[in-house]
Amino acid sequence: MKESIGIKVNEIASRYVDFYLAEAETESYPYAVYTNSVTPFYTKDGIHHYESNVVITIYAQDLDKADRIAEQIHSAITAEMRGRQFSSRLKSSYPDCVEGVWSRELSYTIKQFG
Amino acid sequence: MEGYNVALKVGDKTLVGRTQDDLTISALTKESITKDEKGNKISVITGHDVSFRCAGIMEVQDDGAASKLMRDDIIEMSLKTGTAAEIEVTYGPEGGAIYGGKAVITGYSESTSAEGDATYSLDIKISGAFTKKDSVLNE
Repeated sequence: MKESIGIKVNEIASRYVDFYLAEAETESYPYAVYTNSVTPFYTKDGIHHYESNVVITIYAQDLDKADRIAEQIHSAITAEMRGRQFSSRLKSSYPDCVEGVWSRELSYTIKQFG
Repeated sequence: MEGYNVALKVGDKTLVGRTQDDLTISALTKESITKDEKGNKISVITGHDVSFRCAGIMEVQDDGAASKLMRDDIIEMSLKTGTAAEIEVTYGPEGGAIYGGKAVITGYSESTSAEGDATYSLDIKISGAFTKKDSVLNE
């Protein structure tokens, strides 16, 4: 089983905002970055599923804009990453503001099954 | 030896999503005391209780692996009675001695939390002799 959580998250979020892994490659708002920490879960027969801690941070010049994008991404992840292949669970969501730039951080546990 | 090298099979199948198979052999003893023992009890082993506790992640849909007992198969086996409830088990490591015998399922439980994996555990007790087999498990 090939792990593809990051690929799927990237595919979904890129529809709504410029989306980057770990570090932004733009200085134009809005944009979002994500991290993807994947751990395999083993049974005696090999890898049963992958579990990942995915953190998505959306940056914008105002919180309303960041939240609108966050809601779009969250709705799509919830709708599309469920069922036999994926499951997703939002663990936390909180806003932040640093030097006039607003952000919304979404933290998920996402599993991928064989 | 890594634990995944050790397999419990029911018939020719392993249990789905298996994460643990624990074997326990308990001696059955008969105690006696005579005046010659000067107060010390003598224990004689008269037999053994052999049991397994297995655990795994629940799966309901067969992914094409006909060599596995799925969750529904295990529950069906667990609900049988009389001679129909008798199963054949073998147990051992890859390349090592395999033991087996007739057995019955004495317990089945599932654990399904909102945030975790759905898991099961199964208790199996050997009914009769638990003997060394000639064959070697392939898994």
